[in-house]
Amino acid sequence: MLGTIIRKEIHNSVVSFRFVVVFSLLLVLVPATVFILTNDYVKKVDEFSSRRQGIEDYLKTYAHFNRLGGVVEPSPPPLPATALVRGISSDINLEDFEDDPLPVMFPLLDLVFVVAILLSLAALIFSYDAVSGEKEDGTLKLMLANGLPRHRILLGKIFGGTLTLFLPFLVSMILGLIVILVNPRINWTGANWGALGLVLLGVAVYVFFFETLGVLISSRHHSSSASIMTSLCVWVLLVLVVPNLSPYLASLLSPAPSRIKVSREISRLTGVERDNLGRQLQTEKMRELVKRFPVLAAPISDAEAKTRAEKDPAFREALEARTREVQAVWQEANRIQGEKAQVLSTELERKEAAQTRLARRVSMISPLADFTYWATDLTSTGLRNIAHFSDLSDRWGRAYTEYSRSKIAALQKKDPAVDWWNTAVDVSDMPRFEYKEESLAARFRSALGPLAVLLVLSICIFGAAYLSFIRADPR
Amino acid sequence: MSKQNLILKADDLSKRYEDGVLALDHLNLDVRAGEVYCLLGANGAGKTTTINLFLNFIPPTTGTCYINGVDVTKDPLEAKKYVAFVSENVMLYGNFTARQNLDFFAKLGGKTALTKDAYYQVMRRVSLQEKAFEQRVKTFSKGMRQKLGISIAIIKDAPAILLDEPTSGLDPKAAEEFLEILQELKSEGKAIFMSTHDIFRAKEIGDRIGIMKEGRLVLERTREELQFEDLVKIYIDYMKSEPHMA
Amino acid sequence: MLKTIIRKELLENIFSFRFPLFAVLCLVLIPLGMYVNQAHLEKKIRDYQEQDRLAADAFTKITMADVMAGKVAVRAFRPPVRLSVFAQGFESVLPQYYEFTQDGFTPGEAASGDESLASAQGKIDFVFLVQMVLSLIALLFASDVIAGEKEAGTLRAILANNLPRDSVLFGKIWGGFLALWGPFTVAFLLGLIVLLAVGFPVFGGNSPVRILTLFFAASFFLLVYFVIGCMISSSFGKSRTALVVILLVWVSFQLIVPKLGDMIADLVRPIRTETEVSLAKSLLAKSLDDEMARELGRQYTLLFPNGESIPKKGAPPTPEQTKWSALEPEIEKNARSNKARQLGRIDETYRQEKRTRNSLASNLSVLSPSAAFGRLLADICGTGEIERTKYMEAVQAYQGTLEKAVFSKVTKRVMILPGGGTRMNFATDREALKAQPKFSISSATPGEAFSSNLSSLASLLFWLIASFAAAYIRFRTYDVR
Repeated sequence: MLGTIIRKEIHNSVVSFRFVVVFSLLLVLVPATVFILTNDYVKKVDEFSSRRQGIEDYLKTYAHFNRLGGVVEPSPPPLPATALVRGISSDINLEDFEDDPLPVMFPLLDLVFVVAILLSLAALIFSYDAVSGEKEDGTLKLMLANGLPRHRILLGKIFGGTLTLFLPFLVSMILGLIVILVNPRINWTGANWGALGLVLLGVAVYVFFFETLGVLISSRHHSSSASIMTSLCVWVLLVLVVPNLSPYLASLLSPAPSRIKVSREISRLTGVERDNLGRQLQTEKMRELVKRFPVLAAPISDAEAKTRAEKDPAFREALEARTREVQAVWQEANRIQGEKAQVLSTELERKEAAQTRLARRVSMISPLADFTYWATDLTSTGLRNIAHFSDLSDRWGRAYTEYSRSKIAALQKKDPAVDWWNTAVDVSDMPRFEYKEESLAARFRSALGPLAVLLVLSICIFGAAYLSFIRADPR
Repeated sequence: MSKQNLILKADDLSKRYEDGVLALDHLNLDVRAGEVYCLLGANGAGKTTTINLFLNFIPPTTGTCYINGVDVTKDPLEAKKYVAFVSENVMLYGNFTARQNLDFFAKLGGKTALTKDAYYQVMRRVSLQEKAFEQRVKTFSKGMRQKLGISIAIIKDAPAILLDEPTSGLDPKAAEEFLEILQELKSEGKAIFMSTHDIFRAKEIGDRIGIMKEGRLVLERTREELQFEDLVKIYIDYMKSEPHMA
Repeated sequence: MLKTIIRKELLENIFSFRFPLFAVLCLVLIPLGMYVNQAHLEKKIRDYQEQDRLAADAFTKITMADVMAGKVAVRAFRPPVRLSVFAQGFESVLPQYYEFTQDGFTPGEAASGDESLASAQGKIDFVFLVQMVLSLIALLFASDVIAGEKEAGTLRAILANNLPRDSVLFGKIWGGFLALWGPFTVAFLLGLIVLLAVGFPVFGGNSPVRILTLFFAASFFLLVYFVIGCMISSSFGKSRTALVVILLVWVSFQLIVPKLGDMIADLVRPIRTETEVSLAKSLLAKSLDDEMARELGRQYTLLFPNGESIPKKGAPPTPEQTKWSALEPEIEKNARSNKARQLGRIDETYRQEKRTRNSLASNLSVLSPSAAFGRLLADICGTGEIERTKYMEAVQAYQGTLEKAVFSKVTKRVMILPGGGTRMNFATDREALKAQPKFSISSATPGEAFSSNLSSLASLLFWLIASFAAAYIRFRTYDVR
C-alpha cells in the first residue's frame, strides 16, 4: 500500500512542470559548477606550486633572516575537495578578496550552495501543496474515503517527495563527478570519496527536512496560495535570516571584550605598570642590599665601581650581588605583570571562543547552517580546518623560531663580526611547512553534532506533521 | 419580428478552436427584450462557447454577435455596457463582504453613485439574508452566492442578462426563488439568455427553448409550441439520434 | 474605473492571509537589521578612534634611529562609514588599516579578522533584506495577480464589464504594489526612528539625501520585481506554474547571474592573482636593489681600492672623492628610476588586466536587477566599489606623503663589494618629525554614485519597462476563461 502511494506521489511529481524545471536546472547547474570549480582548483594548484617554487628560488639567493619570516609564512594549499565545495575560506582570505570582491555581496556557487539554497527551495515547491492541493482538488477526500490510513498517506507523501528530489540530484551529481574523474589533475583519495558519501547522506536528511516541513505547512492551510506564502516566509527565516542573525545574537548574549581595549590594557600592564612595579621592587631590594652590604650605600659611578671591584673582593661580591638581585627583581616584575597580561588575554580568548560557540549553536536552528557545517567540516573546507591549519602553523612556527635561533647562534659563533640577521644565508636545511589534512574519522566526529541537530529537527517536524495531518480536515 | 427590441443576436456564428474542434457550427439565434431564451444541451455542446463569444472572451471564427445592436468584436467595450453576466460558479472575492463585492462590481458596471441602502435593497430583493450582507463571501453557500451573483447583474441594470447554468447545484427551493427573480426581470423588459441542463425549469420559464448538439442548434421551439410536445422526449431523442435541423 | 480596480486590489491584499504575515516580517526585520548594524557600527567607531589615537601616539615616538634601522611602520586607519548601517557592502572586508614602510604599504587585517570568526559572516543589513527577502515576497505577491484571478474566475467577472484590459492591468499593478509598499515604508520609518533613538545621526551631513535616495531606490527595486512577477503571472494560466517560474527567476537573479558574470569574466579574461603579482614585484625589487648595491660596490672598489671615500677632517676632497660624490647619487638615481619604471610597468599591466576583467564581470552581473541594486546602494552608502577605489587612491597618496615627511629623511645606501662584504652608509635630514600627517579618504557624492552606476540604473529601468511591456502585451490576449 505504501509503495503504491509513494509511486503515485513520484509519478504525479515527475509529470509536473515544476519537476521539469528543477531537474533541468540541476542538470545544468551542478556539472557547470563542478566544471568551474575544478578549473579554479587547477589554477590554484598551479599558482600554489609556482609560488612555492618562487619562494624556494628566492631563498637560494636572498634569505636574510630579517626578511624571511614574512616570505615563508605558511599558507593553506588548495584541497581537492574544493572541486565541489568552496567552503568558508574565501571570506577570510584577503588575497582572494582583492581579486574577486563579488563573493562579499553574493553567495558563492558550489555544491553546498546548490543543495542548501536550491534544493531546500525546490523541496518546498514540491511539498507546499501536498495536502492543501489535494484538498482543493478533492482527491484527499477520495483517498480517505477509500480507507487509506492517514499515516500511510503522510509517509507516502514525504518519502515520495524526498525521492523525487534526491534522485535527480544524484543524477546531476554523477555528471559532476564525471567531470572530476575525467580531469587528470584532480586526485581524490579514498578519504575524499568517503567524505563525499557522507555529505550525500547529509543532503538526503536536508531534503527530507524541507519536504516534511512543506507537508506540515500544507496540512495547516486550506488553500495552497496561503500555504506557499507561509512556506516561503519560513524558508526565508530559516535559510536567510537565522544564520545571519546568530552572530549578532551571540554577541548580545555572550559578549566579549573589545580586542583593542584588551591589547591596550596588556601593553599598559607590561609597559608602564611593569616599569613602576620594577622600580618599586628595585627600591625595596636596594634597601635590603644596603643593609647587607653597607658599602653599597654610597653612590658611586660605574667606572669607579669597576676599578674598586677589581681591587676589593668584598666590594666585588657586593656589586655582583646587587647586579644579580636587581636583575632578579626586574624579572620578577616582568613575571608578575606578564601573568596579569596572560590572564587578560586568556580571558579574551575564552570569551571569544564562547561567543563563537554560541553563535554556532544558535545558528544550528537553521538546517542550512547544520548542513553547511556538516559538508564543510567533512571536506576540510570549514571552520574546523581553519583551526587545524592554525594549529599546524603554530607548530611549524615554533620549529622555525627554534631553527632560526640555533642557526644564527651557530653562524655567530663561526664569525661574530657579521650581521647574520641581514645577510643571505643557506637555508636549505630549514623546516618546511607541510599541510596534512585531518583524518576522515576526526572530521566525521566533529561534524556529527550538526548532523545530529538536523536529524533531531527533522524528527520534530515530522512529528508535528504527523499530528497535524492526522487531525486535518479533508473537506 | 420587430428589430428595435432585438437585444441579443448571433448571426451565423462559428468557432473552431486551435486544436481543430468545431465548437459552434453556424449558430443563428436572437433574444428580444422581455424574453427568456433557454439553451439546452449536453456538456460540450457549445453552450458555454456561445456565452464566451457574446462576452468577447474568445473571437469567433466566422459570424458576428450583437448586443443591443453593437458588434461585439468591433466594439467590445461598448457592447459590454449592455450585458450583465452570471456564471455557473459565481465568482466573488472571498475576503470581501457581500456588500463590498456588490459595490465593486457596481462601480465597474458604471454605477458609481449608489448608497449602502441601494445595495441592501437589491440584496433584499433577491432574498439574501440580512445578516449575510456584511459577511465575508467565503462563508456563503452556493445558493447565497447565486443570489449575490444575480444581484450584481440586477444592479448593473443592463438590457441583457447572460446566465450560465444558474440553477445547477441549487436545492429546489433556492431554484424556485431564483426563477421568480428572473420572471421579475423579464417583466421589467430585460432580455434573458440562459444555458442550462434543467429541462423542467427551462420549460417553466423559457419563452423560447433551443437545443444544441455538437455545436449546432438542432431545435428551437416557443412556449406555445411546447404545450403540445413533450420536451423531455424530444430532448432525449435528439441526444440519442443523428442531428438534423427541425 | 482605474481607481476602483486599484482600491479593490489594495483591499483584497490587505484582507488576505499574506498581508499581515508580510507586514510582520517587514516591521520586525527591517528595524532589527538597522538596530543590530548600528550597535556594530558604534563598536567599530570606538575601536577606530582608539586605534587612531594609539597610532598617532606611536608616531610621535618615532626616532631617527628607527628610521635608519628601517623599522618604522606607520599605520593609517580607515574610519568606518556611518551609512554602512544600511548597506554593509565591503565594509567588513576592506582592510581596517594599511601599514606604511619605506618599502611600500601592506594591508592590515580586515574587520573580519578582528572579531570572532562567526560575526564576519552575519549580514542582515537593509540592502540584504530588500534584495533577498522582500524581492522574493514581491514576486510571490505578484504571482497570482493575473493567474490567480483567472483561476478564481473573478477575472472573467471583471472583464464582462466595459473596462479596457489595460486599465485592469494597470490597476492591478498599482494596487498590488501599494499593498507591498505600505508596510515597507512604515517599517523603514520605524527603522529610522529606532536609529534616531540610539543616537545615529540621521540628519547629519548629507545623510538625509542619501537615506532618501536609498529609500526611493529600494522602492523602485521592489516595483521592478513586482512588475516582473506580474509579467510572469500574465504569461501562465495557472498560478502554480507562475509560482515555479517566479522562483526560478528569483534564484537566477539573486544567486546565479551575479556569480555567473564573475565566472564568465574569469574564463574570458583570466588574470593573475594579486599575490602572484606582488611576489613578482618584490622579487624584482630585491634583485634590482641588490644589483644597485653591487654596482655601487664595483664602482667604489674601482675608485677607492683602499677604501678612503670620505675626506679627512680639514683636508680638501681628492679628485676621486669628488668623482665619487657625484657618481654615487648618479648610480642611485638611475637604479631607482629603472626600478620604478619596471615595477610601474608590472603594476600598470596588472591594473589594466584587472580593469578589463572587473568591468566585464560587473557589466555581466548587473544583468541581474538584484546585483544592479546591490551595487548602486553600496555606492550610495559609501561602502561599494567607489569606496574601494578611493581607499586605494588615498593609500597611494599617503605613501607619497609619508615619503616626504618621514622616509626620505633617512637615506640608506647599501653597497655589496665584489669581494663579498657589505657596507652601509646613512644620510639624515636633521629636521625633526612633525605630527602624523592626516589620512583621509574622499567620499563620493550621491551624484558620483549615480554616474558610476549607470549600467545598474539602466538594468533596473530595462527590467521595469521590458516586463511591463511584456505583461501588457501578454495580458491583451490573455485567455480569461
